[in-house]
Amino acid sequence: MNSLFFISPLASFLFMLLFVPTMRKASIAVGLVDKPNFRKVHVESIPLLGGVSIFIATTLALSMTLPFSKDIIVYKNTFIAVTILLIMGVIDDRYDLRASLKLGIQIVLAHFVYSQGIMIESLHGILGIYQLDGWLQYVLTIVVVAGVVNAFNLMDGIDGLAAGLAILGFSVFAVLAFITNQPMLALVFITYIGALIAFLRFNLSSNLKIFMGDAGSLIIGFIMAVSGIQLIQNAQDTVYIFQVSLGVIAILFVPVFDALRVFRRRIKSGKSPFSADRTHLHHLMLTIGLRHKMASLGIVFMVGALLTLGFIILHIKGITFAIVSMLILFYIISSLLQFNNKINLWKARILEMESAKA
Amino acid sequence: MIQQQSSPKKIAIIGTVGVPANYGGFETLTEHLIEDLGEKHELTVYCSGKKYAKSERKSIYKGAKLKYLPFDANGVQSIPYDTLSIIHALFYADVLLILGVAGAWVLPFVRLFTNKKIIISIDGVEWKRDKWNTLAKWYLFWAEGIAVKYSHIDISDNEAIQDYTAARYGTLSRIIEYGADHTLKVPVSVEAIEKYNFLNNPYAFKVCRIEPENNVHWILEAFSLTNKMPLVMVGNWDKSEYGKALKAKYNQHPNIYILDPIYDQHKLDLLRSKASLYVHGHTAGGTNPSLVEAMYLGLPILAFGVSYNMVTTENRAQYFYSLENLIESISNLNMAELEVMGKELEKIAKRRYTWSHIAFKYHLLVIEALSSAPKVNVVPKTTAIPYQELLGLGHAHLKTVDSF
Repeated sequence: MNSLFFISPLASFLFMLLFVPTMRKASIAVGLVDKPNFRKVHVESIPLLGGVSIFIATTLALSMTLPFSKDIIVYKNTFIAVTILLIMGVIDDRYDLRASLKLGIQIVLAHFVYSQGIMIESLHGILGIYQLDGWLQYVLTIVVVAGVVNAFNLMDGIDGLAAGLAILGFSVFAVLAFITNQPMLALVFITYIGALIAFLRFNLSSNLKIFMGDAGSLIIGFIMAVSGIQLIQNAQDTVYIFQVSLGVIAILFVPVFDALRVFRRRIKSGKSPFSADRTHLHHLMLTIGLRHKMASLGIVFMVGALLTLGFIILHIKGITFAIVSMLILFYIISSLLQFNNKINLWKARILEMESAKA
Repeated sequence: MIQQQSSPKKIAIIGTVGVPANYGGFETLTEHLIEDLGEKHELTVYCSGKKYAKSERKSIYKGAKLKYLPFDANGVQSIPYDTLSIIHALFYADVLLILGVAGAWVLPFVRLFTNKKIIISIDGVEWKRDKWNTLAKWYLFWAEGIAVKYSHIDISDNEAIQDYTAARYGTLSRIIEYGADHTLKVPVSVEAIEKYNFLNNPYAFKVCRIEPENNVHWILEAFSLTNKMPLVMVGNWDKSEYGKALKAKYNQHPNIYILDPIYDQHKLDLLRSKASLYVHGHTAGGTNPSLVEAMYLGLPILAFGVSYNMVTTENRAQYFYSLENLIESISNLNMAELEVMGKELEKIAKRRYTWSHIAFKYHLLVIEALSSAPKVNVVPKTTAIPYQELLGLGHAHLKTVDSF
């Protein structure tokens, strides 16, 4: 088993290198490209097949390396859901689907996952809450899966961000899977890391650039949400249950709370929470003068810092305090960035007022 | 009510370097407020102990009390300086006249716990000026908001700043500019000509801090490339690398006279009174004192085309927007037109920029701040009727407001 942990990510990495150049040409041929608009930060049409490439590369690698046993049945079911989500994502990338249809499909898939036994059964002492009622388990599972998928989709706004967050997330998940004796999950995570590193290489390059597209960010968000819940479920009877719960929460924390923050702001200023603007965390990071790579790296570091803070506080005061302190730190950072953004907007506005002829 | 308004009030003037004024606009303003408002009210002025040696300190200056605090009035020390001045003033003053926003963070507490009237001058849009680092900009941006929200009256020194506060806060700022009538037209003497040979012929003049935001580099380059008239420029050249580099580059140029800073008002007036053109490159801040002074001296003005300068000169000066534009304007100068322009600008200055006019505006604001309507009394008048009487009328419940 041990050597598989090297072979599998290596295989997915190499598959990516092999496929992506061909996929680029194919996606340009079928018009699966991202065209620039006023919100987008790039100026050329960029192929969108990164997500499909990641899916194919990891599927091939895992089909070679996952053991043939009845244990993989639960992976097969998740795989079906991921495949459906991927197809939906590709169609959305090419033709733009209605938001309500997309949400409907996501809820159906979340229900399917729940029906296969992957669910949030307990809060493990967060806010003093443990085992949940059956209906609450169902509602929470659906909301969390659909919420994380969409939050992750929204984070995919600048080069390297979604992939960077996913690499950090899968790394943490892999460690958590190892310590709670879930080697097959760990193998899946590590295989994804291999493919994502290769993806980053293209995503950050100037001449072979690709995006993962909605297809990519949706499936990665979905895998993170579902496997995160699975990780916690399987760790329930181990001594690491708090560490695993906090680790999963910390990884999903920034995308989710950033989406909630943006929604709240939009509602407060009387707009629809889904109206597009440039106030996401990565937009704010760009306004402090960072380039894409650095802004992405900064957000990945922020997640790392929250994770570290969370684990320290977990150790000292317990899980509720850990989550509250993470919330406070996130609030402080995002408020400062928001403030900086406000200053920049006023600076531009004043410049305009100054040059208006009296 | 009238009686209350005109009775002398204790006013604390906070946020300047101090008096006697040797420094910038706020200090000169304070000096004139002492002269004009001092008769009507009791003034106290807070002064920076860093700028006045122990031997020069006075406890009373022209009738105003002076208090010294051991901080600089500018830079980061302005925060404790203004803050402590405000807190000290709470013990006696009726009105706090605060010039600048550095200490504004305490104003919410002042409003909450005291009944002092606060008038604050927010200066130019300080938070966007190049001279501050990011942290200072953040603080000033935030403090300006606090200042406007928690003062009774806020003052802008320029219409363009008033537009900005209206846009950002949705409130009406009052405009009070600066005076210029402390400048004098000094006739040129023979000795002066011996010392400054450029005084014999037409020349352009500029006095300012040597900073990029005053477009010093453009102006020097433009005059070095044209030969319409020489440029005489006074400023603190040795304070920054920017200034030193420019001084080294243009010091030997036959068309440019570079002079070190002049703190003697009479000497400065002598040099600028006879100039044929005043060049004003400021891009920042509201109404610039040096600009209104040049107007008062009747100098024709070629100014950078930013809204503040246009408003100050009521659109009667000439404006430039770029280096090319500036060179073109200098080459096309027409002496006869300039003379007419100078007269027009002087008229504006005499109407708007005299200290008695400015001080009177401040006087009105003090009255307004003091007369802001007291809280409306909601206790019914029936409570004044004796209880027995009300009982007899069968309306005893009207004695208190509790029944409602």
